[in-house]
Amino acid sequence: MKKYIYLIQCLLLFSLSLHINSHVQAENNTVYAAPAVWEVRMKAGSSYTLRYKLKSAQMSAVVIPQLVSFTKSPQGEIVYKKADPSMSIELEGGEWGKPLTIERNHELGIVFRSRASLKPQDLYYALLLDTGYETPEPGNITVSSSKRVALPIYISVLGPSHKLTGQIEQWSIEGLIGFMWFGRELRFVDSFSPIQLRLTTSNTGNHFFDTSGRIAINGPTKQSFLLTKKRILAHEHSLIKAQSEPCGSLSECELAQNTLVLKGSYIGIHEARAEVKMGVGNNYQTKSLTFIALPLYHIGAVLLLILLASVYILLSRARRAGSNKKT
Amino acid sequence: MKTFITLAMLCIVALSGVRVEAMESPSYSIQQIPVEFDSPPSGGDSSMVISDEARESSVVASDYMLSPQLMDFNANGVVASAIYPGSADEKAALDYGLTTGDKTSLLLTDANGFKDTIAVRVSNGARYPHALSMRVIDVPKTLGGDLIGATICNSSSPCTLQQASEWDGELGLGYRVDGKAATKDFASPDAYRSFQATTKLTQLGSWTKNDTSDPNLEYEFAMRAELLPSQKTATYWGRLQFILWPEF
Repeated sequence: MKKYIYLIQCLLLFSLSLHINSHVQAENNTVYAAPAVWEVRMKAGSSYTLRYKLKSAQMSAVVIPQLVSFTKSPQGEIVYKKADPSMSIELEGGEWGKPLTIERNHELGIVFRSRASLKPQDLYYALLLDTGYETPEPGNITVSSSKRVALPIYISVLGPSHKLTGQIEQWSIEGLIGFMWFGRELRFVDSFSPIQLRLTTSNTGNHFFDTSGRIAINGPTKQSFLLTKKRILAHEHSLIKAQSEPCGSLSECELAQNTLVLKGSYIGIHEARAEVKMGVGNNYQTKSLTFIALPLYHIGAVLLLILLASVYILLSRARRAGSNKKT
Repeated sequence: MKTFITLAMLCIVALSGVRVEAMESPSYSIQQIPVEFDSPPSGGDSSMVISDEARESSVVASDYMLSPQLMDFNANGVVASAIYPGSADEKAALDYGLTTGDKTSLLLTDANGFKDTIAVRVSNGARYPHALSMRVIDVPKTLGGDLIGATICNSSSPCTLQQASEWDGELGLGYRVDGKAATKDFASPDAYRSFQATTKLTQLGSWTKNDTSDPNLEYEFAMRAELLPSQKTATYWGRLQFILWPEF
């Protein structure tokens, strides 16, 4: 009997060890970090230490910390570049570019020191935490993966007065015909085609801000669409998008390169009003445009048919008149 | 009468062509005078209250300074805010991360028809807006430096890095991604993009909602190869990187 109990105990221990091993394996090559984003406003000549907590799901994990600067391409893609040397930067709890072993919890500190002569400006950095590559199993084609968690740091070096400057750069509609009417531009659109609206904002100042807001459609059809919150970096021009369902087909995705695509049957005069909140408080910029939605293609087709019918009738009459003359 | 009907039909067909061209008419833009306004909040302001007093911006030209709380510098002249996904709850905050679970490599062999997938999981805390990108570190090559070559898709247009296309078996190496927030270029199960070296990040998907209802957000990254007989016996090694970027 004792032998049986001993055997069962051994089996239990063995299965438990298997479970632990599989858990470690399942969580392998994983990195968690917090906070995800730091925003710092500092006076020139000051310094600040940002603290990060890193966690590994298993007993230990290895990450390689790096600090880079980032910017955005005109298409809105994040582009990394060498860390801006305007600040003196030190790492506490690790070494840049060297593997760092995290045992369950680890704290990392980054000390930013601004030179006293630094002009008011924004500096955008990102702490990158890269996992290494594991020795892959051999195959015909083996592609091993690593993971990078990027943690952006937005630093604004402030001067004695701090102003943010932004504007709605473009609020437009794709229309067939447009003309001025008592100082207001009117645009004709087809009722049954997707109506494409485009809203862009620009940050002409030295510091980033966030935008939010809505688009209101007023007229026979009334609708309201929330704008997706967007961070506009200093000197950046950016397309603002309305919250809408993700596109399905490729053609739909192409249309999704606009702020908003109205689908449905719009008939009559409508006003599309963009209300963009920039920064905090009630700092709104608004702009309106008017469009007239008509079934233009249907009307065109009917008019063309009438024209053809008239031509046909006239030609028939002329032919008949000609044959009457001959007889 | 027949002539009339034929003419009418021709007109309708011609009109559809006109319609496509007409949609490409240039847009117009409205230039506005820049306004100056208050600074953004530390910690982000997700509240959305539209004021009835919102004015036409062309008349707004104020000289706002920092709001008082943002001027509340410490003794070192700094005001700093840590932004966590969703809440300041430490557990949720520490969950901001990325994992590929138990499988970190794609192995394409004859046995699996030169197709393999791995799951890329964005952890709970990052159900908040984020973007997942991919970077090709090394394209698969042999120790001697032989490459497989970029995929050429069988559709009318080639598979490019920018656009996924259907792939019926042309030689090369391609990838696709699926998942709730995956890029919709891959809507069709046969839509692949070319897996080739680039210095740019390629966005695989993005999540723009603050949504805590879903416990996990998982992307399935798949690779596929169509090889020459001589390539099937060689061994190729490659590396890629998945990148998580917060957008809140």
